[in-house]
Amino acid sequence: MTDAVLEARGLAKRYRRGVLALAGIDLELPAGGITALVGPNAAGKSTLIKTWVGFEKPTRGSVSVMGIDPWRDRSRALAKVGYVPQSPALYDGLSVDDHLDLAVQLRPGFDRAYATQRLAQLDIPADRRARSLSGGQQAQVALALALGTRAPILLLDEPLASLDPLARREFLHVVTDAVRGDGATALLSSHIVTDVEQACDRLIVLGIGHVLLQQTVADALAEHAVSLTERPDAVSSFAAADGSRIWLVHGASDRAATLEEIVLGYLASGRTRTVAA
Amino acid sequence: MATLRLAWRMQRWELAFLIGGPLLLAAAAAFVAWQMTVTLKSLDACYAGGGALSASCLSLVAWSNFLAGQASVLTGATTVVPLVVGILLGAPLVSREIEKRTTLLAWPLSRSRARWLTGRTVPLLVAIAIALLLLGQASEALIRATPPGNLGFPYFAMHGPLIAVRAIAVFGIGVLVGLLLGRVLPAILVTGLVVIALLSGLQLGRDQLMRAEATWVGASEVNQSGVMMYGSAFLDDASGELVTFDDAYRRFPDAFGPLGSGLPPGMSQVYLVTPPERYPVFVAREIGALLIVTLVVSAVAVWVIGWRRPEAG
Repeated sequence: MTDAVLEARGLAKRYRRGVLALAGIDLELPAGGITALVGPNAAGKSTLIKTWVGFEKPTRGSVSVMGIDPWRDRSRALAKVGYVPQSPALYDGLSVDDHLDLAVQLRPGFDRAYATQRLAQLDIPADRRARSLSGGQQAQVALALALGTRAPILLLDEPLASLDPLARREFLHVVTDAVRGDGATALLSSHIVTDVEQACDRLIVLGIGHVLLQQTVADALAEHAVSLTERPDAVSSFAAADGSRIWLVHGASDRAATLEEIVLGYLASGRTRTVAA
Repeated sequence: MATLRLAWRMQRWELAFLIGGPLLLAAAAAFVAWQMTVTLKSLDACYAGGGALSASCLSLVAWSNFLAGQASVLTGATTVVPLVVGILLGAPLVSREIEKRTTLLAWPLSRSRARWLTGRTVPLLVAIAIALLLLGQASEALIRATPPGNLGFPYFAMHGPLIAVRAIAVFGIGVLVGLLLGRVLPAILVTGLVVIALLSGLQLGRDQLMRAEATWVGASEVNQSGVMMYGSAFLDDASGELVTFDDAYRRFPDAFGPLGSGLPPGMSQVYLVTPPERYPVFVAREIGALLIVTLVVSAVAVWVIGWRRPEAG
């Protein structure tokens, strides 16, 4: 038994058409805080989250939510989880209020007042049908439904992908506020590093089916640097914004690395690994 | 109440057409049945007077003919309605949620997918049962009111509780197919094919059983409608031997000539029929078979939803 609230052990997932989404990953998420799950498209971020929600059955290995296998004991595992899908997936014909009523029906102990208050703070009209809400508002409704469960774990599957910058910021503000206030644990997947940089305490970089980095944001920033000249011990090299080549290294070097550079460096190393494999 | 309200809001148009339609049909059948009863009573009075019919009586004849036409249309529609309602309410119920990805929202909120499925299906099942039971009763009243007025095999699956049970079974099949396919249009088409196969199988089985239970009866017993007739022959009154039409023609050709009576001497015509008393048994059997189908598809649906991915593909 570990202190991890979310765990994956040797987790592999191969889809029916032979696509390997996850290639045997090991992960442990401790309780509390927000963890960013960053990776390119098709890195397996959604698949990983969906195994924790009990949507995908691992081909090999295991996952657990607070020690519970979500595939074997889904109801107990789901009681610990609030989930926000990639696109809000609301019922077109139902109003915001109806969605809250639906959540009350489906989820014992759903905190309607809390969810209503969250939505009221954002001036989202309760009587408006989902289809007439903006993308940002729909995402906020989906988030309010997840928060209303009062689950100790929030799994947010790229909820920012289709939002404009302002909506993204508002969304992250609500997540941060809720997690800090409730002491919950949130896993937020995204392929945009700048979105999560301010909000997250921990970082997981997922390559194509592999975990490339798993560290707190503070440690990652402290332990990495950028070299402007080639280094044999570099994690990888990649093109900087100005087109020049830079090397991500452990320890000190020419200058400190930004979080984006750390992520890019590990993604580049993952690409090399994939090609080599 | 909240469950019903949400079910209505999620599918208001389908419910308006597919539950409202049968209710309107039931109302129309009840109206025609009532009018038919009233008109036929008035016509009896017309014919009791003898002689030529008055203008008002003639208009009553025209009205009764019109009602009889409507009655056959309504009873015909009653056989199709349970299939249409079951397919169009059942097949899209879950497949639309999977197609539109609302399952991604609902399934993690609900601790049990089976409970979610129950919550989605039960309000519709209740609505279907009520609407189709009313339609079945109205259709029964209509068949009774329309001459010859006997229920029975010729009106199989056109009235009574079998209407509602058929709709419920088809609805269950539709839900399962929709759950498996996760796409609305393919689910509707495949459900249609499965239902046609099921009903054809049931009809085949029923026909076999009815033939197996058929007995030879005299012409007087055939006059009562509601029997299912499979053939006719002649009965040698003296020996009790059954004589086919061909044999009878060979032995007594004159009886079938231009001046003949059509009945060989010493023989009476008999018919192979399933007696009308067996009708309730056959209805009960079909209801039982359909309820078993409903239970089986429900159990399979609960099993499938346990492992099914919430997205199409």
